[in-house]
Amino acid sequence: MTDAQSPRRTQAEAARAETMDQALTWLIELEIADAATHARFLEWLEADPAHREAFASAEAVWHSQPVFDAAAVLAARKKT
Amino acid sequence: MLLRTLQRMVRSHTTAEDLLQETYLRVTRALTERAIEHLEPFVFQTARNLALDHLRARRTHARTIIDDAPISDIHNVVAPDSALEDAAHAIRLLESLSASLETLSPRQQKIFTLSRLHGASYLEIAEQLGVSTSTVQKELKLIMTVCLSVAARLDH
Repeated sequence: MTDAQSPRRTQAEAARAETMDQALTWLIELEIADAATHARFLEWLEADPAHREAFASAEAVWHSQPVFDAAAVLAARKKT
Repeated sequence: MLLRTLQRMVRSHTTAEDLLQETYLRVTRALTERAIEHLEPFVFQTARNLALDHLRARRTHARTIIDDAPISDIHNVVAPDSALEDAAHAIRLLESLSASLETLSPRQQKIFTLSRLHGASYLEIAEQLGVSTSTVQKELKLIMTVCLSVAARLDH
């Protein structure tokens, strides 16, 4: 049973990793996106609920206060 | 664990929330001043000292109410507030992020601080470091992956 399940789980994990990879690419791209690119982003976002979920969680972390503070900590340490 | 200790000490979820926010600020400030080798005990000690200070101040302020915690407060000790969880989570995330980001290359660290702290554009970062914008984007994506895996590890 474990043998039958594990390849499927690996496949699901691979799909999730691929979706997250796309989400990160979009997160990077959006900062310099023109209208056409933005439209393509929205298309991608609507295409699959998993896309929306991955993008939301990536964005929440990347724009979070702890990430900003971690940058402040890192910058202050480098000076001393 | 930190959360439970604070709630047990002050017996009020709003106070515990304030103390955790203050702990977060103090830990952040301390981290910018020096590297802290054993971060977890330091965070714990900071929170504990703040709670003790709070209790001392409250005791001198109103000696009579200290043992009269309302029923609703006691209830909140059993069901922790989600804002409190968030504050505790933010402290843990900052700790883990700081530790992981230390392991990045100096160039990656520079890109990270220029982007997140100074809000520099890809072009500005590229010019400052003498690399292409696509290198900046590639490095940022890698750094995002690091941040996300740190966050994911905490959630499990």
